[in-house]
Amino acid sequence: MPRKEKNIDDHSMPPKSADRFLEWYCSDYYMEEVKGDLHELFQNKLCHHFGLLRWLLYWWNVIRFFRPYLLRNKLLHINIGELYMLNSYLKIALRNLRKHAFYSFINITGLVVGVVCVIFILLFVTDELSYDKFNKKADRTYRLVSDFMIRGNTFQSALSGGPVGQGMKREFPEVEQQTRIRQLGSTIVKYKDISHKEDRMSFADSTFFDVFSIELIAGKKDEVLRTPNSIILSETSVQKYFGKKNPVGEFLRLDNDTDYNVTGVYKDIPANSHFHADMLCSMSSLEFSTQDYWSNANFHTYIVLAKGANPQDLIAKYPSILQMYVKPEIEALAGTSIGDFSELNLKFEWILEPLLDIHLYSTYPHQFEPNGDIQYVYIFSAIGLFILFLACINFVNLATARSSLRAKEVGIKKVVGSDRRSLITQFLTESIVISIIALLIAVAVVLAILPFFNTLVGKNIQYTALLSGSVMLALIVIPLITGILAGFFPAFVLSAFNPAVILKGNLSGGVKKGWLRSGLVVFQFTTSIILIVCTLVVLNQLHYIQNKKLGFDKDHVLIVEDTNMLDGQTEIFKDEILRNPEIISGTVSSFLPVESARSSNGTIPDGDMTSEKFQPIQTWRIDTDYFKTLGIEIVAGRNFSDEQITDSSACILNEACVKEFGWDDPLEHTVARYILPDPNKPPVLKEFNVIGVVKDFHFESLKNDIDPIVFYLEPSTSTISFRINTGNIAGVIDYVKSVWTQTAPGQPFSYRFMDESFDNMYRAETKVSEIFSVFAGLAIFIGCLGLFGLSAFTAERKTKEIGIRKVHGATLKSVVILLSKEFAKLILVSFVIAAPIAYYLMNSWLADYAYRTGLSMWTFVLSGLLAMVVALITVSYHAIKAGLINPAKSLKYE
Amino acid sequence: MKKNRTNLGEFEELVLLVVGVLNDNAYGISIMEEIEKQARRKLSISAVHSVLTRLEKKGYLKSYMGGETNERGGRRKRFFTLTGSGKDAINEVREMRNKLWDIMPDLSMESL
Repeated sequence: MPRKEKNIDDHSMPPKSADRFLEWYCSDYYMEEVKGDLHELFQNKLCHHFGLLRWLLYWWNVIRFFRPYLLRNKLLHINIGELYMLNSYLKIALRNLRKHAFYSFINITGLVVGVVCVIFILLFVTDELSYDKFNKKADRTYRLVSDFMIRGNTFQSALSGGPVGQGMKREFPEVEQQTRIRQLGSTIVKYKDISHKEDRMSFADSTFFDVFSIELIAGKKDEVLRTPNSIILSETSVQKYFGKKNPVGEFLRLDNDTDYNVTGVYKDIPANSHFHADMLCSMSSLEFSTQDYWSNANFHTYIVLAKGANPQDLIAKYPSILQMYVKPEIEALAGTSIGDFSELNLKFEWILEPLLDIHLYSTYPHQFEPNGDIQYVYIFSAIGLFILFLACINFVNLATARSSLRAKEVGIKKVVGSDRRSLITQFLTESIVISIIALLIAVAVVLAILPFFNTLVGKNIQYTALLSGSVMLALIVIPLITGILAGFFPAFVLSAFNPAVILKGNLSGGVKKGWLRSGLVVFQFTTSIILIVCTLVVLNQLHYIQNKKLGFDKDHVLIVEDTNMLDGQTEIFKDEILRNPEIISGTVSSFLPVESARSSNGTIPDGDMTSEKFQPIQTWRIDTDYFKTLGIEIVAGRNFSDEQITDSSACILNEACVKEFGWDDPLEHTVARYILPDPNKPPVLKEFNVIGVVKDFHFESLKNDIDPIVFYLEPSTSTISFRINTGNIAGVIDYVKSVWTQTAPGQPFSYRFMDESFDNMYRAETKVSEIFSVFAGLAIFIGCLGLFGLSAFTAERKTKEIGIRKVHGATLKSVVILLSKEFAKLILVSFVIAAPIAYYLMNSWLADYAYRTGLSMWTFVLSGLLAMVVALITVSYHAIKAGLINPAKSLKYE
Repeated sequence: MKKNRTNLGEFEELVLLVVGVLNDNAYGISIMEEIEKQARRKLSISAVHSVLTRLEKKGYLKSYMGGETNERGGRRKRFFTLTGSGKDAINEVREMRNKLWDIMPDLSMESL
C-alpha cells in the first residue's frame, strides 16, 4: 500500500493506533477504500476540531466501522483448533484442581469468604442508597429543619412549627405542596376484643399522599385524612385487626378514650423509607395542629418545590415571612414590641433538607427513626473490597510460590510449540474456573446466612434483592475480575519462563519472586491488624460507656409504661405496689435518664427577659421520690417535699444548669418559664425558687455533654419507675402485674428494666463493634489460610534441608523456629505499618464522643500479639509436621 | 416477501437516488456529503458504507476502484454506479408513489 502521507505535518495525521485497530479487523478487500474514506474525512470534515477531540472523533468513526461485513474472516470464524484448546484448558484446569486439592481448597475457601463479603456489602449499600427513592417527587421534596438562634444559643431540630409549611405554601409560589407528620408514640389500639400496643402511629395532613408516593388501596386520596378522628391503616394492620374483613367504616378505639373512623387502607410503607407508620390519623384530630407557633418545633414538615425551582431562592425570601408571621408572634408571646430582628441576635430559619439525604446524612435531633450513616456505607464498602482483595492475594501467592512445580509443564509446552498467549489463556482459565466455583458456593452461602446478616445489620433484605440488576451484574463481573486479577500475575510469571533454563533443571527462576509474596503477606496482615485494633477500640469504648459512673443507679429499676392507661389512678397504683416489701421506692415522672422523648422550655434566669442566658432548657416533671428511686445525689439545698405547699413554685437544677447560668449561690436565685394554666388563654410567665441542686448525671448517650435540666414538682403520668430488691425479680414482676390488672382491668401491661433501655442507647455502637469483629475475624481467617498454604509449601520445599539438619542433630524446636522465623518477621513489619494507620483512624472515631477512653498502647500490643500468635499457630502446624518426619524418609529419594 | 418485488428501505432509496445524481463521482464521502446537503441529515461514513455494500450485494449498484488520488494518502476510491435493476428499482418506487398519490381522495388532501 503506497504511503505518501509522510509529507503531511504530523499533527494533522489521524492517530496511528486507530489505524492499527482498523488494519486488525478490516478485511483486505475493503481496507483501501475504508481507510481512504476515513482519512479524507479526517482531513476535510474533522478539520474544524482540534487536537484530542479530532483524534477522538476519528477513533469513534473507526469504531463505528466495526461491522460484521467488514471483518476479516479469521475474526468471524472460531478456529476449531482453538475450541479444542479451550476444552483442553478446562480439562487441565480441573485436573490441577483435583491434583492439588489442598491448595484448591485454600484458594476457593478464601475466595468464597471474599465474594460472600462483597455480595453482602453490595446488598447493604444498595439498600442504604435506595432510601426514599420510591417517592416520585423525591428529587424536589425537602424536609424543613428548624435552625434557630435565640440570644446566641442555637437550636436545631428535624421538627418545625405547625404553621411553617402552610405559610410557605401560601407565600412562595415555588412551593407546590406541603405536608406535616407528627408521631403519636405508643398507643393502645382496640377493636372489639382485639387490643394491641402500636408503636408506629402518626398524625398526617390530608396532603400526605401528594408528597409521598404511597399507594392507597381503599379510600380516595382527596377524602382520607380530612375529617377529625379519622384513621387509615396499612395493609399489615388491617390484617392484624380485621383479617379479611373490609375495615372501611369500622371504628378503632385509641388509648381507650377516642374512637377513630377507618376511612382508608394504604400499602405498607416500604422498608427503605426514612419513616414508617402502621396507622395514620388525620392531623385535624390533633387540636393544637392548627394553633401551633412558627417558633415551635413539633412537626416533621415536608415541602415539594415546583419543577426547576431553586431552594436557595426560597431561603432568600425568608425575611418577608419573618416580618409577616414570626415577629408578631414573638411580640405576642413576650408581651412587648421587639423592634428590629437583626439587633436582637435572633435567628429563625428553616434548612431545606433534601428528602434523599435524610437517611444517610441527617444528624439533626428529633429524627423519625435512627438513620443510616454515609460514613458506614463508605467504611463497609472499603472493607468488603479489601477482604476480596485479601482473598485474591492468597491466590497470587500460592500460585507464584508453586510456580516451580509447574515450570516443567510450561517448559514442555513451550518446546512443543505453545506460544505465550495460549499459556496465559491456560492460567487465566484456571483462575476463572476457580473463581466461578467460588462464586457458586458463595451464592449458596449467601442464601443460607442472609437471615443472620439481616440481624447483624438490622435490616430486612429479601432474597429477591439478589435478583436486582446491580447484584446480578456483580455476580457476573466478580468472577471475571477476581479471576483475571488473581490469575494475571501468575499467568505472566509462569508463561515467561525460558524453556531451555527450566528443562535444564534450574527451577528457581520463578520462585525467587519472594519479595512480592512477602509484600502481599504484609499487606494482608496489616489489614488484619488494623481491623483487630478497630474492633478492640470500639469494644473498649462500649465497655467504658456502659460502666462509666453515670451519676445515677440504672440497675434494678423497673419501669412500668403507658401509665396513662391507669386513668388518674396513678398514685393509688403506686401506693399499692409499694406495699410489697421487695419494692423499695417508686416515682412518677415525665422523663427518665435513658433515651426518651424530652421537651425543652424557654427558661429565664431570675425572670430577666433581657438576660443573655435566656434559652430553651430541658423541663422534667417529677415527684418527691424521684432522686431517691434513681439514686441521684443532691449536692446543695433540699429535695422537694410534700409538706411544703410552696414547692409547687420551686425547682431543682442540675450542676450543668447552675454552671450555664453562672451562679455561685444558686439557692438565692429563681428561674421563670411560661406555663399554660388554661389552654384557651395565652401563656403566663411563672417564677420558681431554686431550692436544690443535684449532681450531674448522664441522661443521654455519652456522645453528648450533659445538658442543663430544671426539675419541677408537677404531676405527670407517663412512666412509673420502681427500685426493687434483687431477690425475687420474677415474683416482683408478677406482683406489679397483678396490681396493674386490678387497677386497670383489660389494659395491656408492659414493663422494662432501666439497664436494658440504657443498653439500647448504644445499639449503634454495639452493632458497629459486632460488624467489625466479623470483618476482623474474616480478614485474619483469610490471611491465615494464605499463611497455612505458604507454610505448607515452604515445609515441602525444605523437606530435604530439614532432613539433613536433623541428621546433624537439629531438634524439633530449632526446625520450628527455622520455619516460623520468616513469617514472624513479616507479621512484625505488618504491625509497624498497621499501628500508626489504626491510631489515626480510631482517634478520629473517638473524637465523636464527649466522654471517651484513651487509646491505650496495650490495645495495639494486644492486636499485634493476637495476629502473631494466630499466624504462628497456623505456620507451626506444618513446621512441626516437617520437623517430625523421620529424616530417613525425607532423604530416601535420589 | 417475494423476490421479484422491489423492497427498498427509505435510506436505501435515498442512497440510490444520490448515486444517480452524482453520476460519475459517487463514492463514500461524496455520497455522504450530498445526502447531508440535500436531505439535511447527519450521517456517519460507516452507515453509508454499509448501505452501499448491501445495495451492491442486492444488485442495484456496481462498483469499480478508481485511480490513485493525491489526497487521502494516495488511496484509491471505490466508485458506485446504478445497475439496470437499480434504475428499475427507484423507478418502480416512484411509480408506486405516484399511483398512490393519484388515488388519494381530494377530501383527505384538504384536511392534510
